[in-house]
Amino acid sequence: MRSIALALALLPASAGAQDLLDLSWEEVVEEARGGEVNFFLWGGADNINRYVSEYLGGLLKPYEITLNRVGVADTTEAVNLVLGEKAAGNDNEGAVDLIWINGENFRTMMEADLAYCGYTDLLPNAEYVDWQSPAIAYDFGLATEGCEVPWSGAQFAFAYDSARMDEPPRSIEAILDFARENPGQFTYPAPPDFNGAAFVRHVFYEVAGGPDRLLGDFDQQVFDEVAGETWELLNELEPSLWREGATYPTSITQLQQLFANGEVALSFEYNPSQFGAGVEAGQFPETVRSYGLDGGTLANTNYTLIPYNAANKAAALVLQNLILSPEAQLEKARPEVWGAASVLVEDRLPSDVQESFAALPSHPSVVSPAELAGAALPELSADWIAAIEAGWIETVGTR
Amino acid sequence: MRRAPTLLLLAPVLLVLVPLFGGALLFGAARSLGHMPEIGMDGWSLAPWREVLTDPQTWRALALSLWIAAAATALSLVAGTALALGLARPFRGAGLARLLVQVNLTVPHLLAGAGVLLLLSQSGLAARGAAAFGWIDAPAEFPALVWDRAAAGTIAAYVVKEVPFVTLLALSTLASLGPGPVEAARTTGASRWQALRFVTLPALAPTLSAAGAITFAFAFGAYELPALLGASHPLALPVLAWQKETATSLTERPEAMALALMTAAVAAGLVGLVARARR
Amino acid sequence: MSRLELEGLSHGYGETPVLQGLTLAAEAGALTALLGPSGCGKSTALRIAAGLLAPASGTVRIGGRDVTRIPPERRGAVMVFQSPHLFPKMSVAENVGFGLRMRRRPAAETARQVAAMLERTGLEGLGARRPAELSGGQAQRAALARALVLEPQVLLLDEPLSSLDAGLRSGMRALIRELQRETGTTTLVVTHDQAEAAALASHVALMLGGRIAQEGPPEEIYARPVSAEVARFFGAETFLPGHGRGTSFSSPVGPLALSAPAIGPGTLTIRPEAIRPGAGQNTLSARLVEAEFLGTATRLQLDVSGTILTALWRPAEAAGLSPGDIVQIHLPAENLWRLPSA
Repeated sequence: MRSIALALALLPASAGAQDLLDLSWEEVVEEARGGEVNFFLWGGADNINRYVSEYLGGLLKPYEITLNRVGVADTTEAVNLVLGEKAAGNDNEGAVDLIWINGENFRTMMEADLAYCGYTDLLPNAEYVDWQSPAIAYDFGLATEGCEVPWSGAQFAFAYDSARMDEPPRSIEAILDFARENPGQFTYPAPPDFNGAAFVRHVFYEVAGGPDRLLGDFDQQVFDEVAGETWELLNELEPSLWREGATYPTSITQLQQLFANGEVALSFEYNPSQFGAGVEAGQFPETVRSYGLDGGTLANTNYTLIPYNAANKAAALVLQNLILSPEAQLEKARPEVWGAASVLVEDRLPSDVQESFAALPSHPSVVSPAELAGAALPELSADWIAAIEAGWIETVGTR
Repeated sequence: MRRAPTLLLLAPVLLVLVPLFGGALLFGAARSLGHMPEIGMDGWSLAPWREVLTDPQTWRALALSLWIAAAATALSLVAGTALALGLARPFRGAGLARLLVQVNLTVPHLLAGAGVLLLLSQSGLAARGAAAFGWIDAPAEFPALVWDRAAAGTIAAYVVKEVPFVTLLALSTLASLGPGPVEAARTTGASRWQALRFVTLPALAPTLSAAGAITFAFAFGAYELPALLGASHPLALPVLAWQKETATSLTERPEAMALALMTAAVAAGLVGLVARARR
Repeated sequence: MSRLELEGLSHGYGETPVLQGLTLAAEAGALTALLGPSGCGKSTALRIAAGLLAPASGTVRIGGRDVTRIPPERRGAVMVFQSPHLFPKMSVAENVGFGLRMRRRPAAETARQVAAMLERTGLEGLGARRPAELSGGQAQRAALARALVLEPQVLLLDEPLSSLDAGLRSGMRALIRELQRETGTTTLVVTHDQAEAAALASHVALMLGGRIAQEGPPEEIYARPVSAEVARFFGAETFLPGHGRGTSFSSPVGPLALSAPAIGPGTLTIRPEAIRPGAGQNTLSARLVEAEFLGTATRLQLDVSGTILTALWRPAEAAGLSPGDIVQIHLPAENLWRLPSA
């Protein structure tokens, strides 16, 4: 038994990476048929897990492809897995076929040469995507270069309980004032938590007077100038925070617990549909409302990526194509399913799908994507983000 | 004549363990020296160690982890021994009590952590109960026992998990000891307390030192509970290592390995000390 | 020198009663044996006397003082167990000095008493050893030393010889007797072995079914058992029911002459060694069923008109006999004991 397994493991992959790009789509589908695909993604939200396992898994059935959803607490775990495989010389039989990714993790994959690239034209549903749009072509300032396929748009939003507060603070300045006037009622997760770091970037933008000076390549001089003032501001805020700033929540999950238990009055999330999901799950009261800021909130696009050594690339391509299908994007946009914004160009969609998008009900607790999109802030490049995180940890978090 | 067969018997286990742990240690050591050829860092450097050893966060993390491990070990040993001594006497319901202790062993650490959160957080059951009884004005006034800098919640969760472990080990030692030695001590003039002090505890000492070493090494090196119940600062050593391992910047990976090796070295050193003392 | 009294002791484990109103006294300065088959509750009684077990009801008195509720360390009674239970991490001297140390006696005095006790029990020079380095006999003597060094009012010995090899028993038995005589310590020894009880003690109490069945000097219990159970425990196997008519007794083996008159229905018993070969008083003719050579004696099963009698003869007396042979035996009248009617 063991020798057979060993022999199988030593067989070369039936179709090398290069061959796949030479095939027609029909041939790729045939290649993928009957196989499986290991999709690694953040597993912290039940509704997302259900959408992936049940809905996407169901779409793969006609292709006889088995979808294995592998939940991770942090996308970096999947990146590390691929990195470890590369270190071990496993260049063909990698365990990770697809990763939900963006931003700094994408940069890591590119820096370490871990991404499979150049296949996006092969996907029939790629025609619905505007690959030239900056929101798609650049992932946190880094060109996607045919190495990523967009999945959803996301925009940061804040949340409050309308039963406890008439009018929430609608700017960073107002939020900081609110925190000072209501000691213990506000906090944010400590970076490197993804959402906590995004909140800190909002403050950073505020101090910088807007994103304009921060876009483009990292500028140490500008950073030092803005960072000094930002850290001072956040340090002065500390005594007014939850637990007097002696500690911060260590994850967005912890902040949502505090918010759900009424320990803090405000919360936020890069994926505001989570507030609707939280209400449906009974975690939040129905009176929770999410909202954007007058000065805008950060927006980004997230993607799926195939590692260079994925064992089941053909099946991963089939899954990526299904993820981009109008039906799957529509299903994903339903507030009761996930409520994540579509990445497709509406004009290019079949008219019935367009109508369905227009008719989507909105969840009272979830701010409408259109309302948020009215004031969107661009994300910074990864160097900026890393510098802000490191600066916060050193100057604010471990003081 | 006696050595060879022992080695032979252990061979299958060693064949798995030595490459697994030895390989991982070598890999970690190489990476902690800045050697990561898979991303083009194929040189060797002491910089990651220098970075880690000069970072005040490292020392605060080490101190916190030592405190968590020492407090959890001490409390688990005291409570576990007391529970074992109680359960060792025959009484109605002893079987049920022992079963409950064993069931607790199967509870995952994360679940114990979630239980502590549910019970001890400022919006938890204890806080709400105290507020409902009017002992405090609002749940938020409940003392900060989780996500606190003294790691009380983490220690409490470890104690919940490790007490049954200590109890079961102590119980089996007590069972093999039998009531004889204690009765001999009592009848030759020892009070209940003296019999415990001079006969039972010395007989339990090897078991307790082994259980203590395991508890300490585990509480010192494990990630889940301090990650779930710890403050954002200071971080426990394994949490700090994990944060660096999952940092998006690849250059922090060697530092993560240096921290992990440091954790392993402290734990191994302690287990070694205990093993030497037992000889 | 204090008298030990156990009065009306009852105890049970769960639903099973072990002691049912046990009453027993160990006379001051004497060595009393509590004899009984395994599982009859005699060890339980000893543990209650030592204070290691609380009775369900009843009273323990030492020197007239009620100690039923006094903890073991303050009773003045010290128990030595079947296995020595020496403390493995202490030296032999530390073991022997344990009780004195618990009583916070001065170290110098303790050392002197321990040395004397080690010498008295034949353990001189072994004080620095660990218990694991002692032989079984040495360990049991150390356990005895650990108890006696405390000069207890009452010494309780639970089967002190049963963990020893046969060869070591007589030495240990002699030591116990000697030490008891020298110190005059009131001693109660529990044993299941009637020979051991007889050899050690001047007064034996036989315990059957959670109660004392008979007590007195060993010779008396041996010769004049009060019941068939007691007789059986001491090795009697022959019981002859019948009817007394003065000095004659009609029995299944025929009329037997008695040394003392008896009237009415009853049972005679006779010990196997009292049934003698040849003619004499109460001569009977028997057919040999089986002969079993036991070394120092031969055990014979003899059929007298359908009733089996068991006899124990010297091997020479039984030489040349084989099953089926007809032999002449006699039952001396002074050895025929009529059991008191219940």
